[in-house]
Amino acid sequence: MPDDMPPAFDLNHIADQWGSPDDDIYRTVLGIFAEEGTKLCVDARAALAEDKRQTLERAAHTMKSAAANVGALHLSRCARALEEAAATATPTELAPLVAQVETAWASVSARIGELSCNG
Amino acid sequence: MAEQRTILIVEDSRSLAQTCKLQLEAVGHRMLMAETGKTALELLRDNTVDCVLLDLNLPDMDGMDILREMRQWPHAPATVVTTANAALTVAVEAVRLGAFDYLVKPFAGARLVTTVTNALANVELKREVETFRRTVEHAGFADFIGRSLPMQRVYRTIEAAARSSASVFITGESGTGKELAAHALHSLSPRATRQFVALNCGAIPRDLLESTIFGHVKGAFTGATGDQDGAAARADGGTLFLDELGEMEMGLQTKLLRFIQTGTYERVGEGRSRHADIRFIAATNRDPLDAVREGRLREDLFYRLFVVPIAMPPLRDRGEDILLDARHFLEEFARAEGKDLRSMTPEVEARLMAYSWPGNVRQLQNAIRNMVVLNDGPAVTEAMLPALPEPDQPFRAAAQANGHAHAPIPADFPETAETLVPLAEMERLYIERAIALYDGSIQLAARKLGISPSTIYRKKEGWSV
Repeated sequence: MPDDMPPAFDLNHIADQWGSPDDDIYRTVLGIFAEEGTKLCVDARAALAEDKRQTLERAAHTMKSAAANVGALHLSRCARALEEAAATATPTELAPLVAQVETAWASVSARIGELSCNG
Repeated sequence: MAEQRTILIVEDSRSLAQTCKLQLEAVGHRMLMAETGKTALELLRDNTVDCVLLDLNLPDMDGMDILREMRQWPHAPATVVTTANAALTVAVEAVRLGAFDYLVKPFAGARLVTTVTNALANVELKREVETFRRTVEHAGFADFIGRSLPMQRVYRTIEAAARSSASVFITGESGTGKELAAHALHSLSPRATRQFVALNCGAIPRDLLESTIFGHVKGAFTGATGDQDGAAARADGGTLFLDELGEMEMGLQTKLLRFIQTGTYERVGEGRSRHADIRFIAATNRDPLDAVREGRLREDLFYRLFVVPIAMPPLRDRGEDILLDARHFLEEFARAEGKDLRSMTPEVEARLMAYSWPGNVRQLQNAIRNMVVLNDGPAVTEAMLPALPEPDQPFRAAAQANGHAHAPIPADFPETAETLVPLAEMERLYIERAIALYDGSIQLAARKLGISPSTIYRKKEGWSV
């Protein structure tokens, strides 16, 4: 992972929205988001391959809100960029945007894995 | 902890939906979840929802369309719109369509709980004002007379629940108006143009109850001389009210549960399934949980029906409603009997207010009818009041006066030739009192009176003509 990659989670945002990353509900929601994010990435990749723009836009839209909810703001911004381009950009233009979402998701997913290992 | 309300979350992101669910459950609310607009509309139709948390960007429809749909409903839930789009125009449009407030994602849990709490308070206030306005205008609601606070609560529940198809379980002492409540639920519902069918499970012989509910085919049993539809077919599209549900035998309860769950039933003696779209309302004058504990009522059936509970208050807890009811009955019976009785003296009103009315409104109604039938004059005086027995003293021991030591005489028994009433009238008073003394159980009253329940039902039909 590149060193200049933004942090997977914005701790200030989590503090504002949830009080603490140790909040019980936050931990539960993070677990659900771990499954949901994986599926949304798969959906986005498949929609790109089949050039299904609406499906791609919806996956990106859902990822944008769900990621922001748990404080994964970089992932949320990547998803927003994909959502905004989904309807009009060419498949060639969309491919790197999908890849950006996948990269950001990999970082978030890895961090969730670390958090769940640490209890 | 806040009073429990039902909140519907319409959100296609599972993690976002769970965020809202867990935060609102933590303050004691009951949650329903929908990922699509279609599911949301189905849940709104089948449940009494107090607040909707509505995502505007749904997979199958625009959330604004759901707002437009709910705007047509007379008792729509409070709606809080959630959107990732912070544009003011979206919020203005949502509020214009009836949303109480909006939240821009992501939002903090505390903000969510505060916004939903305010929305619930707002819808509750609107409902209270509307019910109060109607109640004050008409001194009652639907066919009820009364404006006391316990009845206002009943009216509000009926109004809120009427629009949905959710099952309703009504409890309350005999004579408190359980069937009136069921009828009000039906007449205020979208099903009002279809039939309201009421069955008293305690009054129909057990071996005939299944056929009465589901119908039968020719030859299904002795006396089944032709095909006949039951209450299920008559109530299709409408409402089926099952009174004294605890009197239904367990085997039939199983069939009823299946009918409620699947909407399908079979007529007695017929192999083919039929379908009916029915709203179920059940009632009992005893504690239904006692019936469950005693094995007289299936627990799964009880919880299937106990979606919206309504507890009818006894008349003694309704304060001035006693006089509102009494004046209403006095006017009605005086007009029907061609009598001049138009008012009650303050002493009579004080007596009526002080009495406990164990037989509730039905007993009050009978007492007023008794006074109107037996008396005349401009005002009801204390001397005209029939004896008002306490629950453990139902009859006046007039035996001493008449020398019949073992022949109790009804308290209303006329003592002069001038006050004799037709035998049929006395029979009616006697039967109604017996039913009241057995907490509304026609079966028990009939057994004590030495007649069959069907005889009482036949007579009751004659009285209502």
